[in-house]
Amino acid sequence: MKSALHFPYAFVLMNWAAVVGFYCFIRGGESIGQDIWTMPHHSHNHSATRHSERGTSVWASARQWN
Amino acid sequence: MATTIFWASFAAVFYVYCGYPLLLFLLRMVVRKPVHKAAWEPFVSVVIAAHNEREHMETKIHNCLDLDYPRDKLEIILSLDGPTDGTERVARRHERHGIRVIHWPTRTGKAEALNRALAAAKGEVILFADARQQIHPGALRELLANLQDCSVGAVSGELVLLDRLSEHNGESSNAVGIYWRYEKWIRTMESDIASMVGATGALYAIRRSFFTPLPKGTILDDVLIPMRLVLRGKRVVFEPLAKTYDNVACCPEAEFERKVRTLTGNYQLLAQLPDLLLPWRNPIFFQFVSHKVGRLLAPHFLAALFVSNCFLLYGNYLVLFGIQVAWYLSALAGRVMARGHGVDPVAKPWVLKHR
Repeated sequence: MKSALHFPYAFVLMNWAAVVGFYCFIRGGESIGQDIWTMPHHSHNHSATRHSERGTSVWASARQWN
Repeated sequence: MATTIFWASFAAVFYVYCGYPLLLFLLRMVVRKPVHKAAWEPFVSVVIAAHNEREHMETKIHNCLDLDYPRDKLEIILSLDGPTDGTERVARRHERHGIRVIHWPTRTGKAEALNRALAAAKGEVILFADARQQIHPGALRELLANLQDCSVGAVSGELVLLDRLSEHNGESSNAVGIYWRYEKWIRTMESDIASMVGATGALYAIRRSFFTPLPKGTILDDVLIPMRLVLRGKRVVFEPLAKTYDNVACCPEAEFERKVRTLTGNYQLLAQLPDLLLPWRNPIFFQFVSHKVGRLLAPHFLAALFVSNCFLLYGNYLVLFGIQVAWYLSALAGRVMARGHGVDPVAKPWVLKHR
């Protein structure tokens, strides 16, 4: 049930991102490229413990999976 | 009037998310441009721009050193952009292994960091990578084989998002993982037909001679560099055998931050390369508008679809309105269940820029 609700939520959120992106672009000017450095890419776990694990665990998972 | 807006918005949303991929699927059956691959071993510069990546730097350096490629034909350049967390110390420890560290004391942005790295690079081919993801050892050779085709200007690897928390430890099957697979499916078809619209920032390669310095403040180097090449008549292709791995975002909120960055970058791209919107200048105008511009416009079409439906509350339109309401209520329920993960993107979108 929870994952079923994630799809409409993710869809709406991704579209909302386009609106926020436009806002950032309009407000950001030339400095936005620097400000956005700190934005994470895919893996963002909001947990210091998980964060510290990522460096080695991805590859470990990758080897196992591949 | 409301009926026209409703159906026009419906058609636009359907086209962006379903029609365009289906059209690509059909087109690929008729038009398919193979890449003439050939093995070769040029001198390669691996370029990694990083700000504060102390936790990943050690692993990343070892990962690059483990690439299946002659060490004497490989240089690894770490372009550090005003790190404050000890990233430089970690990187310097590996200078004795031949790692080149370019340290800049103040933050100037990723584009400037890449420009500095490229000015120092000696490789005939440049492999761009991010600090966090782990590259498969055989990925470099797979990418290079594509660059032997003279029509290819850039080649992108495949970013595989893994689900660490799942029992099978395989490619993620959560909402973000499925969305990413859908995106890769589109990119694969675009590549097969003509050219991808951009590359995967975590792993892509170009010939050094094709590189021109990036404008300061560029957000999406992985789209700007390839699209410049597309405007020069080159192809940007996808190599699914060149894999790089990352953990999937834990939740849609985390993916949201990445998506904001990407979409902000797409707006910036339109300002940097307005020729992309000219069909006689952009060889992949159809793909660019359908994929990139369509995603930027989709939320506005969705809003128009909902608002116009509010004025059409009768007959079948009432059913469609009910479906829309149910969809957004489900999204709201999903948000309520996901709250507490940190970022609240709906309440405070502006915090993203100032974090």
